[in-house]
This record gives sequence, structure tokens and C-alpha cells, in this order.
Amino acid sequence: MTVFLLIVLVVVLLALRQNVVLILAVVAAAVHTFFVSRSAIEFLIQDIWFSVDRETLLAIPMFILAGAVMTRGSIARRIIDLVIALTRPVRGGLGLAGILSCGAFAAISGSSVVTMLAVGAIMYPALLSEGYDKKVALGSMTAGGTLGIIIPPSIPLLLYGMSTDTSVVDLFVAGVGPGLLLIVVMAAYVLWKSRHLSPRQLDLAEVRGALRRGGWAIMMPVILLGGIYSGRFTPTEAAAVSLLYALIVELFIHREMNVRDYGTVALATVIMSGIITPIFAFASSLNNVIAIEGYPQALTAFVKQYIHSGWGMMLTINIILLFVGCIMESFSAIVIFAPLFLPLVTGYGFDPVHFGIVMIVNLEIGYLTPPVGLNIIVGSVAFKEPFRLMVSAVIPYIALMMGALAVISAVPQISLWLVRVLH
Amino acid sequence: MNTSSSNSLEQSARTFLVWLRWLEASVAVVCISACGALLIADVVFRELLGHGLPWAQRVAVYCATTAAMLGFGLAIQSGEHLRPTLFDNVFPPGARPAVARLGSLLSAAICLWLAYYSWFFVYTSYLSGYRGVALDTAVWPMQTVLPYAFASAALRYFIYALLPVLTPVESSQGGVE
Amino acid sequence: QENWRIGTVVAPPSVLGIMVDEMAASITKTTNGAIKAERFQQPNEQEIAQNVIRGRYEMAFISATGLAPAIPAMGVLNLAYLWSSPEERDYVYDKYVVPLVTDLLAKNGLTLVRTGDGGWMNLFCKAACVSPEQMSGMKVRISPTASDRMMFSRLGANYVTMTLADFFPSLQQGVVDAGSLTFGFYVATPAAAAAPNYVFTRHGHQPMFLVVHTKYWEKLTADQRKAIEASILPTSEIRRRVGEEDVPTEARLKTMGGHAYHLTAEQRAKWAAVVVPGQPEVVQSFGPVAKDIYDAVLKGKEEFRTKAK
Ligand code: NA
Ligand code: NA
Repeated sequence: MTVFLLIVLVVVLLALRQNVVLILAVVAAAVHTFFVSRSAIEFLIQDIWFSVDRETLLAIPMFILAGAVMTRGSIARRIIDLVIALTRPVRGGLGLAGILSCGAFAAISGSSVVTMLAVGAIMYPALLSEGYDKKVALGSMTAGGTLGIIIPPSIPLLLYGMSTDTSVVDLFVAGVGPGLLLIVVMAAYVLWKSRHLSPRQLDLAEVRGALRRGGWAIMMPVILLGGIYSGRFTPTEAAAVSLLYALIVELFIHREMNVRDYGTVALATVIMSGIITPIFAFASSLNNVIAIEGYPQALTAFVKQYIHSGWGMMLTINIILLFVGCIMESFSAIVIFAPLFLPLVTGYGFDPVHFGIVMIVNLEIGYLTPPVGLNIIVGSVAFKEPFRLMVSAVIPYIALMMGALAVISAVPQISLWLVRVLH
Repeated sequence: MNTSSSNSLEQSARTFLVWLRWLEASVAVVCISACGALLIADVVFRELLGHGLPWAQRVAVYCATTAAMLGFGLAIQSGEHLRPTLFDNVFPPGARPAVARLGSLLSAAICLWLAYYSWFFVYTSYLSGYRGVALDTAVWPMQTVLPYAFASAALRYFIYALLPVLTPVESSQGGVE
Repeated sequence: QENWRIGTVVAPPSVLGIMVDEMAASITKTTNGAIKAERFQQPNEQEIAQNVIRGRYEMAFISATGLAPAIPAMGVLNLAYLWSSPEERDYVYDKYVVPLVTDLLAKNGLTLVRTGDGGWMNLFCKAACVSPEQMSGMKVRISPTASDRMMFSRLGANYVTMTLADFFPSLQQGVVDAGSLTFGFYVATPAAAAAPNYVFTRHGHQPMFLVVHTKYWEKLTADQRKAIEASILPTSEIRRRVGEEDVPTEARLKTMGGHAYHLTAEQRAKWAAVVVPGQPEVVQSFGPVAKDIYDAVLKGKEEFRTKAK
């Protein structure tokens, strides 16, 4: 009954042309007021404040802004020219480069959205300009971004380790194998989908020209990765450093952008934040309420009562997590479900590190599933593509990742071999 | 309402919206830029001047939050909020302008109501003397951006309900395919 | 029957998490199920503090650091080198600090049910850092609290603040070379591999408090309240278990190739000598109530010293 009323409320709001964020706000408020003990709208506002008041989120607007500066200026185009020149001889080479770039960036960023934004800002326009199918290109960037949380470092793996007392080192190491598997799967799909694109002869003059024009632009990833790996700055600071570098190069060296242009892209960035941030905040509050009301605990007790085999448990939990991934943002999902589910599977002899990886791959898929899929929400805003297109673009990647998830769940060695080698 | 007074009302509202946008956009751009500058300053101090700035990231977070909340209102004015268009055609074409107007009024009401509760939240935060960790100051001044942003959003929607001609054209990413 | 949530950051298998579960179980048991208490884990202590103060959670098991943004005077309990030894600390807590903290919490709508113990904050470094001079110019990740800022600026360290998410890769890549965490947490994170020298500087102590939102507490009968107070793990037991946890943790660190350094009283006194003169200024910044607690601590410490002689 109550769920039915909520659905009616949403339909009425949709018919009256309300925005996603306002619908979320009303639903969250209704839940706080009518379905939750000891809550009130006051706590909705408190939740939205705490959900945005976090240092871990700082890198997101910074990378959006840096990407916007590089695209408005000419760094992005110059890097793209070089990558196109280099990958020309390979059928689907640029698509492959896109996935590999996500994998490389994932090695420095612990966030799915940040990886998608940093790589996508440059690669998405490049893929389109080279005639790649729009859905394949959009999907590869949006799904490729999720590599950010499986390839170490990873904020969700860190949260899993902290909330279950599992070694974060082991978790990070265990993420490497599944991360590589996902790269291979995604790359293979992109190559297959772009098999109709004919390769061309490598043009050395073009490569040389692109290298010469791209000198300052090419230094961007060098500074970004070099700075982090040499211990000059943290991944969060790298976002600001890349912004500063992009501004210096565009304003004073390439001079294809002026201060007024910066104002324009900064405003565009602020507007993107203004769209994404409140959605994230209201969704977080709903997640909070779900957790505080003890629904996850009730679900866990239910599962425990009816499932009596190890693989049955693994399968059930995976299915639940896929649903959880649709409606919850991954940070909350981990903190809430990791401590609840871990004892259920360790009872059947599963390794906590392996289960952590299974959970993360599962929630990676959650970044791509509507309605609460951060990569498709942020991607829709950042790449200026309709939400529906985002959803249909990621469907094949979701299918592939579910296949990979099944393999990763069934074969613990993919996650654990490197951990054992290093021990 | 005769035509000339409605035109002059429309003209003032238009001017007001331009000013509101200019003001909020300026503050937001300064905030997002300051956010980057603070993160850089922290690196520079640590690498060159002996120690980092322990408050830099905290202030950067406040700047980013302020920018994002102002962006909420700015996104309304540029028609960029995500809006599912699923049921747009359930009403007969003749009724759609009225529905759109009603929608704006409803949005205004929701935002106003969020503004009220945000104000209440900030007020209790002020009364309790809630403080940040890195900054030895009360947090409520930073939190005032919540009620402000919702109130400013409500005002915009109210103007669109009153003068639908000023309603922004929605940009394509809002699900309008 | 009512459900009560105990908001906290801790969870089993950590020793603190196990104890909170035991506390929850004993509340449920002594009230014959009238109150069904459950640990509710949440990652942000500031949020937990707000939720219990505003009555969204019935109870919380929370640190002084977590309470400090809402109740600034609590910050004084985290002051670097406030204590010379665990014995002194426990003596002064029981006689002077707990009554003052009880009042302070009561003014904020919270009833203190049990004083707990979150253990010591200690330093760890890439190269062993057993004496204060070694900290000069060292890049160390600090928490942005007034006490940490005071301590590491007096040590002449190159102090930096960053999130935990950034901290571990930064330690591996050398953005920072040191930091401080409690022993159990340190060993479970990548910090133990990246900076394997754990030094028992015992510079900070983290008290924990089991608190109830007073309005809900007063709804219980006097008998229920008494029964709960009597059944929950006593402070001495919490301290004992937390203290004993260091032994298996040290063994675990050894198997990982790390090393724990136990400082002599003289070695530790050298650290304290650098840091203690900075205390009054920090106390000042926490306000008059903090000053009262600090003065009571000084008085208690003096008393403990004369008694020991
Ligand atoms: Na990563
Ligand atoms: Na999702």
C-alpha cells in the first residue's frame, strides 16, 4: 500500500513535469515523514549537507573543469590528433586506446566517475570524430570509467576493508586480476563492434606533426601520472594540478582561449555540479533511511533462513547486490552491506578478500544501472547526451560485466592468485 | 491586467533574472576557481614552504559546495536539469501550456519548502554552535547556501509560473529526445 | 517493544566492534526485550554525533573526536601528551574527567552510560622515528584538529592533511612518509606495508563514550535504567581488552615484516617536552569548559604523582 502511494506520487510528479532532483526530494521527504521512525524533514536536510560535505568528492568538479578547459582550448584536440595518428593502423585502434586509457587512469584514481570524466573528456569526442558508433563510444567511456574502482587504488575497496577489517593491501592486490579481465572483455567488445572501420596506413609525417603540435598537451598525462607516482601530489590534488597546467598551457602557450572563455567553461562546470550534486545528495539520504530502518538486516536474516549452500548464497547475494546497485550509491551500499553479507559467505568457506572483489565488481555494474547510476547520470550531463541514450549505450557493457562477474565469483583464483604470489 | 503593465512586469522580471544569473554565476565561478587554487596552494606550501595548509581542503569543500548549490539555481535558468519526459504527452496539446505553468508553480512550492527546512536546519546548527574540524569557526555561515539556493530556485520557478514566456528552453540532455 | 540503534563507526571483528555488540546484547537481555538494541555502523562520526544529539539514533558509541564538532570542549580529551601513563590517565578519568564530561554531555541532551577506551594514537614512519628530532621536516599526514596541528608544528614536521582514501596511495608513493593511527587499524591498512615502523609514542588518547539521547533514556523506568547501567561492560573491562589487543596486533605486524618500537619513559618524555608547552594555547581555543576540564586534569595528574611517591 505505502509503496503503491509512493509510485502514484512519482507518476503525478512526472506528469507535472518535475525534474529528477525535485522528484527525489519529494520522495525522500515522504519517506522521512511517513515511513521512518524518529525522522523528520530536518534530517533530510542534515543528510544532504553531510553527503556533500566531504573531501573525497573534491576531485570530481576539478576533473570536470580541467576537462572542460582542455576541450574549450586545444589540448584535447592535440592529444586526440596524436592518438588517432598512432592508432590508425589498428582496426578499432582508437576504441582500444579508450579502454586502455581508462585502465591506465584507473591505476591512479580510486573513483569511477573521475576516471570516466578524465578520459572521456578527451576520448569521447575523438571516437565520434573517427566515425565510431555513438553508443559504442559512449558505452566504452561510461563503462570503462568503472575500472576506476576495481583497479587499485579504489575508494570502495578501501571502504570495504575498513568496514569488514579486511586487509586493504590484499584487496588492492586482488583487484588487479579482475581489473585486467574486465579490460580484456571491454576491449574485445569495442574491437568487435568497430570491425567495420577500415584501418589505414601509418602516416609517419602525420605522427611527427601531431607530436610536434602536441608537445605541451602530451605532457599533461605525464605530469598527472608522474606527479602521483613520484610522490609530488595526491590523486585529489592531481585534479587541481591538471587544471592549473591546462590553464597555463591554454592561456599562455596555445593562446586559443582567453580569460572570458575560462569564465564560460567554469560556469558550465558549476551548472554540471548543480545538476549532479543535489541528485547525489537526496539519493544518499534515501540510502541512509533504508539503512537506519534496518531493511538490510531484515533482508540478511531472510536470506540466511532460506539459503543453505555456498554457491546458492553467492548467487543470491550477487542478485541482491545487482538490485541494490540500481538504487544505491556504491559508498553507502558497501558500508551497509559488506559487514552484513560477509559472515554469510565466509560461513561457506569463501575468502573475505575474494568476496570484497565480487562486491566491488557488482557495484561497478551499479554505476551503470538506472535510476541511481552515477556514471550514467554524470556522463549524461558531462557528455551532453540524453539519459535514455546513456542507458541503452551501457546495456551491452552491463551484460559483459555480468558475465565477467559470474567468472570472477566462480573462480576465486582470478582475484587471489596475485595476493598469494605476493605473500 | 492590461498589456502594457504586463509587458513592463515581464521586462523587470527579465532584467531581474539576468542580474540574478550574473550575480550567482560570478560567485560560483569564483568559488570553483578558489577550490582549485586552495588545493594547489596546499601542494605548494608542502613542497616549498615547510608545511601544508591544514584548512585548505576543508575550505575547498565549502567552496565546491557553494558553487554546486548555486549551480542548482543556474541549471534551472539554463534549462539543464534532468527531467524525464515520459508523460509529457498524456495531456491534450491545448492543456500542455497550463500544465507546464502548474508544474513551475509546483516546483516553486517544493523549492520553497526545501528552503524553509534548510533555513530551520541552519538555525539549529547556529543555536548548537556546531563547528568544523579544521577551521575554528561555526559551520552555519557555510550552510546558509542551502536555504539561499532553494529560495533562489523557488523564486525562479515562481517567475516562470507567473510569466511562462520567460521559461527557459530545455536543453537536449534533459531526456527530451 | 522498541528498537534502539547504537550509532558507531566500529564493527566486529575489531575488539571495539565486538564490545559494542556485547553492550547491545546486554541491553536487550536486561530489559527482557523491551528495548532491542542493535549496533548501527556509519562511516562518519560527526554525522553520528548529530544524529544522537538530535534524537535520530537512540544511542551512540562515539569518540571525543567525533563529538568535538558538536561539543568543542571535548577536543581537550584528544590533546597531545595529555597523559604520562595509562595508570595516570585511568586515575584522573575516573576521579575528575568523567564527572565533568557527564555534565558536558548532559548539557547537550546526552546521558553518559559508559566511558570506554579507543586506545592510543601512535606514530608510524617509513624510517624509524623514535626521537622527536627525527620529525623535523618529515612529511607527515595529520588530522586537521587543533591538537595535531600544534603537535606537529612544534616538532617542526612538514604536516599535511588529506583524506584516508588519498593517504594510503600517498604513503606508498612518498607524498608523505609518516602518519598516526591506532595500532589495530594501522595493521589492517596498506599503511603497515608502506611505512612499517610503528612507534608507541602514545601521543594521543582516544576515549570513547556510550551515550543515550536523554529524552529516550528518561522514558525508561528507573529499574530498567539501573539494570542497563549494571549489565553493560564496565569501563575497566573495556580498558583491559583494548590494552591487551596490542600483543596479537604486534605479532601480526611482525609476520608482515613490520616493527613496533616501545619507547622508554625517558624517550617518551622527550616527545612530551616538545609538545606539552603548546597545550594551553590549544585549550584556550576550545573555550572555557575545556579550560575547566584541562585544569581538573592537571590537578588530578599532580595528585596521582604525589600519591605514587
Ligand atoms: Na583505481
Ligand atoms: Na545504479
